[in-house]
Amino acid sequence: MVSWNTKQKIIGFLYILPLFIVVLLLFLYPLIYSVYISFTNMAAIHFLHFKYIGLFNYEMMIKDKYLATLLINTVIWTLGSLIPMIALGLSLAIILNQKDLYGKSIFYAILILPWAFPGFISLLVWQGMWVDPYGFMNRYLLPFLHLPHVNSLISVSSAWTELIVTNLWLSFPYYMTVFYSGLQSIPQELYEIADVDGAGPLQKFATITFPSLRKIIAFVFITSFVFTWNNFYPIYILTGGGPGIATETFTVYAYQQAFSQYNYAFAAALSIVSTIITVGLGIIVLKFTGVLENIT
Amino acid sequence: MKFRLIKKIVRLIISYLVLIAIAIWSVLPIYYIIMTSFSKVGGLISISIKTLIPNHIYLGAYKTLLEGRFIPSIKVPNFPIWVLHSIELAAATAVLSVILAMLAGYSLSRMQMPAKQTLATFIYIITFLPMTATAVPLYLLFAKFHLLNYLGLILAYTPGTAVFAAFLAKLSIDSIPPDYEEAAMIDGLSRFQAFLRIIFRLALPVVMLTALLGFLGAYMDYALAYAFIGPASTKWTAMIGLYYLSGLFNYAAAPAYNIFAAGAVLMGLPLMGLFLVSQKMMTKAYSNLAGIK
Repeated sequence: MVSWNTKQKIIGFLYILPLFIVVLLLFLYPLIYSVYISFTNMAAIHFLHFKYIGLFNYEMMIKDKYLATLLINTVIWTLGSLIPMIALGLSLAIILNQKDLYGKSIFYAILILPWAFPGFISLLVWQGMWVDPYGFMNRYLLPFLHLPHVNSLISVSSAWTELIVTNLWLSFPYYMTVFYSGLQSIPQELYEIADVDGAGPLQKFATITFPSLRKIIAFVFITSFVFTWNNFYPIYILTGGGPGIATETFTVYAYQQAFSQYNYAFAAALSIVSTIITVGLGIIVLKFTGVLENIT
Repeated sequence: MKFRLIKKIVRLIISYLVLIAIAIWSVLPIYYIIMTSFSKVGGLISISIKTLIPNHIYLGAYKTLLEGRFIPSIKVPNFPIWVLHSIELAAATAVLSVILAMLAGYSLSRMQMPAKQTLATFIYIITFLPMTATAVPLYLLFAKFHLLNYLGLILAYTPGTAVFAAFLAKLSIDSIPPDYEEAAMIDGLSRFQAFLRIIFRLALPVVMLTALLGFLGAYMDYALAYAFIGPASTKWTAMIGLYYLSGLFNYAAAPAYNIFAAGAVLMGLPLMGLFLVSQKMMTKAYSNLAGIK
């Protein structure tokens, strides 16, 4: 006779079982399978008759400088995107949070449009706008602002500019929204006391605003770091990783190796390295944010 | 006193200048693509400042988009059939995500089981793996099992939303008093019936949010869809279709640019509406369930 308690435990498992099976079959099993593939020479020409070649793919990644290049590119991409996004998002949030500013809800409604418009479609539109010389940016906007042309086909710095400016457009509203709601939770009295004490705006930012937002900034920075590290579409659509492999990141390069070059084994090896890094970053996120206490 | 007034005016002027500049920058690409969709522009090269000034609205691009057969091997108007494929995939993903997420959320919230925390942590860490990082492994595995088709895509889309939503569902079910189900179970309902009739109804906002997120996630995907069904243009989804119309596959073979613009507007604006709805629901869900920020 199974006790009531044991029966409840079994029923509990039955409810979570479907999700657990899906996660095992669709995340864990493919991952293990591609660890295996990464030790073979599977590619278009050996799709069915591939053989074990040991660490060759990993050795090639290190010896031919792919690993170093991809790591450096991914760090440039991640930090280069995050720092301007957080700076612009925070500045706009502070501007919108001024008590005596009229029309903030209208501005807010306009400023979140880039976030709301589907990112994939925006990127296709931006791709056309950046074409040199007859795209909208190079023909009208950049000359109007007295800025030099941006041609991501031939210049590495142009390619990064194009990527980071577009990614800033896509993402700043998210940061603005998060910081704006954070600012609104700071009690107004703190600022009034500071006013009585004769504090200037910079002093108020350093002693009230920044300390109050420190936790939110840390949370946003860490979670967005993982997201941006793996962000695929901007690079895939705008530069395709070019010129050469100068703007390739792990995710984009692995995808292209698999689905344009049909180098499945090398792509699998790249995915494994990228996954190890992502899980490492993920564990840091969990440690930092204490999100687990809320979900279990 | 006068000095303070000047300071305030300067501060407000700078604020408005920054806001106006960023607002123009925010709207510009969207405005540009809407205006292009109402123009007769055939290629990027013929887009000019005149295109952006609304003088008369030309709907030809929309007509061609909805009726055109750009790829001869497809015997029906191309774009509508691609959209239909996307809707089918997205709806199936939404339903499957809701079922998995609600079951798992119920278990996490109500059931006492050993190793619950370990299980939850494991499932949560898995969500850090982005779809594109698992695209290659999934492709290799699905190729082996003949799943490089719609069924495979639905299976691949579901876990991402379902895992995230399972935790939302858990938090939401936590806030429903267990008395309701217990009363229903005393009245003769089984636990599963109580779950279906009571929990689903009371957690309806989370059910809707999960469905919406699952739908949007699948609808907006390009990377997996292209990897799985890329070569078969008869099976393309709306996003692969848009990629093709934008000229990125082959600029010379793509139809006129205003047709891409019409597609971008026709897809972009409704999806933008759905996104704003999901954002509103998300904010509400989070503020109702104190804890996570």
